[in-house]
Amino acid sequence: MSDLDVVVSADEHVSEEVSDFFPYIDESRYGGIKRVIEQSAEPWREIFSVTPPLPPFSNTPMASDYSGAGNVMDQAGDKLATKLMRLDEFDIDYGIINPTLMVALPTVNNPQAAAALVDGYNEWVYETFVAESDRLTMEVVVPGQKPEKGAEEIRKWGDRDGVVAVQIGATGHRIPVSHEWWDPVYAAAEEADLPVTYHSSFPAIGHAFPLQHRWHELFAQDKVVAHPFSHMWNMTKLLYEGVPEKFPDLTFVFQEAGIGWIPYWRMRLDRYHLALGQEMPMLDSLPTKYIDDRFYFTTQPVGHTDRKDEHIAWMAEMAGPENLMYSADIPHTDFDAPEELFTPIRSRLEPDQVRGMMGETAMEVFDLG
Amino acid sequence: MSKHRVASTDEIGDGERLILEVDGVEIAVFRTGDDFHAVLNYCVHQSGPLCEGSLAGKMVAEPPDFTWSYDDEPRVVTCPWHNWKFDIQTGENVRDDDYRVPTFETVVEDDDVYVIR
Repeated sequence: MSDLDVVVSADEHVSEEVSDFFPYIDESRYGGIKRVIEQSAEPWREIFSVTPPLPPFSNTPMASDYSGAGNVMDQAGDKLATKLMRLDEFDIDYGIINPTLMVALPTVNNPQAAAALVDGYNEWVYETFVAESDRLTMEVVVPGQKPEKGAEEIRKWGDRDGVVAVQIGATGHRIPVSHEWWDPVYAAAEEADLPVTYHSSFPAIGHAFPLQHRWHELFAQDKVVAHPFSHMWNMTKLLYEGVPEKFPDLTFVFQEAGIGWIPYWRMRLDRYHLALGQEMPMLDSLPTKYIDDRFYFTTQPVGHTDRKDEHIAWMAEMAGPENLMYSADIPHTDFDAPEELFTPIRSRLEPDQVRGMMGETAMEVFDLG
Repeated sequence: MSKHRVASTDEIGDGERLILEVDGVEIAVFRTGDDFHAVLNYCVHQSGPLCEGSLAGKMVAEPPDFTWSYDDEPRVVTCPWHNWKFDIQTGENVRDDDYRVPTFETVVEDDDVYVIR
């Protein structure tokens, strides 16, 4: 990787617990619900509604660690030092921070609690990581339960250095991300010139689409299904309902489902747009043209190919290399070291495509550096 | 290029079409009001008989609210095989103008309709 000028992980995680950001929740505004949150012995079940079929990652170092893989890798003195140490270990120059616990935000039933959690989380991440390192940037988390609060958070944080995107979340929303309910968030993101990101998640799959807590018997089934199914549904709805036309300056980023689903879904979206386009008159070209222009995808986990590395390169070629951004997903136990992507593509794609996927595209999309 | 007589004007009713072979290819001549439009009877999707499908208007949605309206000018033919829709005046696919079917110039002289090909 020595011939790369920059390596960016376009989806990194912090390992937060409610107790980390609880002190950052505004007492004057959320004092009541704060008292309730404080009394929860198990926030994942009592504030959030996470109901996997079996404990996540049982018999691994991440077993039932709802705050996210604290035991997977070495720890440094504090969470900031740990994060930077892990980037160093894998020669990653910049990391864009997403949460771990808070990806389950759509499962929070109480809207006051959702707003309070966001209030505290965004400030904690900014103060703890982003303000302390120019290698770390963050995505502002917004609550689907209160889109106006989301817009407020975007306006509060959006113009600060190191705030590079708006995290909407992809899984478990009861109101689909294409619905006009979300318009205040999209309008604020567009106004702030920030891309919107959709991070899929297994913790939220038990709550709402793509699967509620019924027939999965294994945690592994949640993990396989949650990510691509979330994106397939969200992307279909966003495109076919014309959200990119409604917000013509907005950029869309899909995180954590790998890249294999993209070519398949591109073909299906175009095929049924051409056949049934009378239902989507707001679009003036093929869905894939909107995707090519304004949709991006992070690569982790690229998938297992039984040493047929060329398949990774073929998938990237079909998905659109200019729209793919390497992501590590450290410290989660399905993370990708940079070589997981770099080795299959380095001699099979054009050098500028490889540089783009490994970091240069993310530098532009998130306006880093 | 030659001028081929295809019909007299009263042989094609308003909103109807005549499909016939012109110089070795199958062409449909549509009439909308006093206008005549000639389109190759061939869908670029899977080679279906495009011009045997319905002729109708199209859905429209404009900003800022993108409420659907219906443009009832009958200029969109729908392929009966897979529903691809083309504008009979331009030949363009109404969903994406990168796709188009060949169209041909028409002229009317002394109540006769001609296709230029």
